[in-house]
Amino acid sequence: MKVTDPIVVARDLCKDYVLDGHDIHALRAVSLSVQPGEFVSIMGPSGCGKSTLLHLLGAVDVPTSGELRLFGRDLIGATDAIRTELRLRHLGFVFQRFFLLPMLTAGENVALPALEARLPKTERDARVREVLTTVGLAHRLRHKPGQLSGGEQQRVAIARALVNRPQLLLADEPTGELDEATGTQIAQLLQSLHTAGVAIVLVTHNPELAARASRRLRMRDGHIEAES
Amino acid sequence: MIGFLVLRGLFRHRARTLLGVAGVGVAGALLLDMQMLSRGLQSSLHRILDQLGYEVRVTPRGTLPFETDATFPGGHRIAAAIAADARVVRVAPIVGGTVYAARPSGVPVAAFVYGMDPPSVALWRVTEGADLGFADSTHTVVSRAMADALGIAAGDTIFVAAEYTSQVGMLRSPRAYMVCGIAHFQFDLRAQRSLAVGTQQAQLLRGEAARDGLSLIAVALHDQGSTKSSTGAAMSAWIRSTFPEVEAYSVAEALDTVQGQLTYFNLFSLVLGSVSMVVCVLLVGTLVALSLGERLGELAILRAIGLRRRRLVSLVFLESLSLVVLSLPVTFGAGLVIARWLDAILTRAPSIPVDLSFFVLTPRAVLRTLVLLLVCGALAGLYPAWLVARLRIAPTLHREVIG
Repeated sequence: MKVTDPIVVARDLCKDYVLDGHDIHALRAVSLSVQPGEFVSIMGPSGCGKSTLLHLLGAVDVPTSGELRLFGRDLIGATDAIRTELRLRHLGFVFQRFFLLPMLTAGENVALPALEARLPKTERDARVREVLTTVGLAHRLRHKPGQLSGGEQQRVAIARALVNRPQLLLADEPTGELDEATGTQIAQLLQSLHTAGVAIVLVTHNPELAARASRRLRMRDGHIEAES
Repeated sequence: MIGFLVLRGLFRHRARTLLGVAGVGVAGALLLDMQMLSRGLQSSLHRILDQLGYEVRVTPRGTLPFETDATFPGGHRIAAAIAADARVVRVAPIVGGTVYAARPSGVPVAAFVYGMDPPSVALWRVTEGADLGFADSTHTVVSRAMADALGIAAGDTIFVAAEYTSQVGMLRSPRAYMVCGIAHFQFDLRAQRSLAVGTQQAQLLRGEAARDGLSLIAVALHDQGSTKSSTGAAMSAWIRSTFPEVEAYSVAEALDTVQGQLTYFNLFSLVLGSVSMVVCVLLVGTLVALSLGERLGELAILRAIGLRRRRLVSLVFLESLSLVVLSLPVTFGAGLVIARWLDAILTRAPSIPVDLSFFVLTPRAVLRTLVLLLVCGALAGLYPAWLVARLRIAPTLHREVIG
């Protein structure tokens, strides 16, 4: 794969499932590509398929049909082990709910992906400090999630997503549970990560946050309606 | 990493973990007790038999030692023939049976007489006064229960006879003995009244002198280390074939015979042990599955950030095993206390030898309990591990966000 090749290539992605006996067409022939370092935002009404698309791009779900390549690797028919390895080494996830493990400190939460990636302890500790410094929480290393504000917890979650130095950060409503001021801080942080060269795909309802992206997509009824 | 997550997870729900540990500990204690019970009597009997230092016991045909009052004739001739074997160190001819004893002009009481010549067999241990002499014809050693029943002490004289005419309250052809000591008799039942005299005296008392009747010949073999039990088996086989009128048991054969009569205890321990294992599996499985249900979102996140499926399966398995391991101090502490308590209750039964124990802690019982509990932990982890293995990340995250 060349440095300039798209890191995400999706063609005619469809995702159908059955809910309470009804066939749901969550995605209908969605095509999308993301370049290295690109900042893409996806907006749209609830239930339009934004999160479903993000889950497919994040290799946590499989499309019903279509083509999907991540970092040059074909994900259709890929084993769970390959998908897991992709998530571990190349992707970072940030969710609306922070999903930090409450019994671990901020540092330990951030260190989890690095532990799984078997980074040596010295390098792991250095990375944890580095990413917590990036999100402005180096002083909160030993605090547990319950001792942190919502904004701080989300920043810890972002640090966790960054610790293995992913090329692509996937963020699903990262400011959805935060007040406006804290949401702005998170938006600025994402912007600075983009500036630092991390590609970002952001799902949001927040037009101001979406406006920070270099490419903005609007979804409706399972397909991309508009792009700007 | 997994161990770290497991410990933090268990610590996170301290009250639940403590309750689980207590529950598994109690179930484990019952399992330990059943392991102790399943071989307890046999082990206890083995210990007592070993203490005596005799590898082979010769009894009347078809009986166990002192199972009945039966004797076999020509006892000393058989004993001498056995003693002539090169494998034999010494033999001890013993007579046992029911007699009656009374103080002068006192009311007779039934008692068990051991007739043997010290120091050849240590069936008793003198606790007060002195022991019998070799071929002693004038003294007797009595049990504490016997001394209490007759109100006698060392130095007193008692009359002993094989028969008692209840209509006139008199012993028939009594023999007088001076009590030289009070002793603890190893095979006595609780509150059993016993006395010991020389072999020949016991034969005279029981009318066995003319036929030289003996109840038991205890045979000590040369110490041949690990081959002693096989030598014992060979010796007993030789005795059975040479003297068809007697039965012969090595210690191992005697224990096997006793074990056959203890099927009731084996079944009892099997059933209760199995029940405790089922309880343990259900308890651990339920706790881990419940805890899992509350953490599905967390687990989905761990998968989403790149933790491998087998890592989470190991996490759940280790949680199950950790609950079992953490409960081990409770298992062994409570198990030993309950065993001692039950043993005290059971050995109060009148037909149980005083020195016998039902619950014996052996390395085998400890090892089996450990292995079975770990198996329980692993079995309990199967269902939660299956749930984790088939966890679908996207729907779980979706549910968590909507929820």
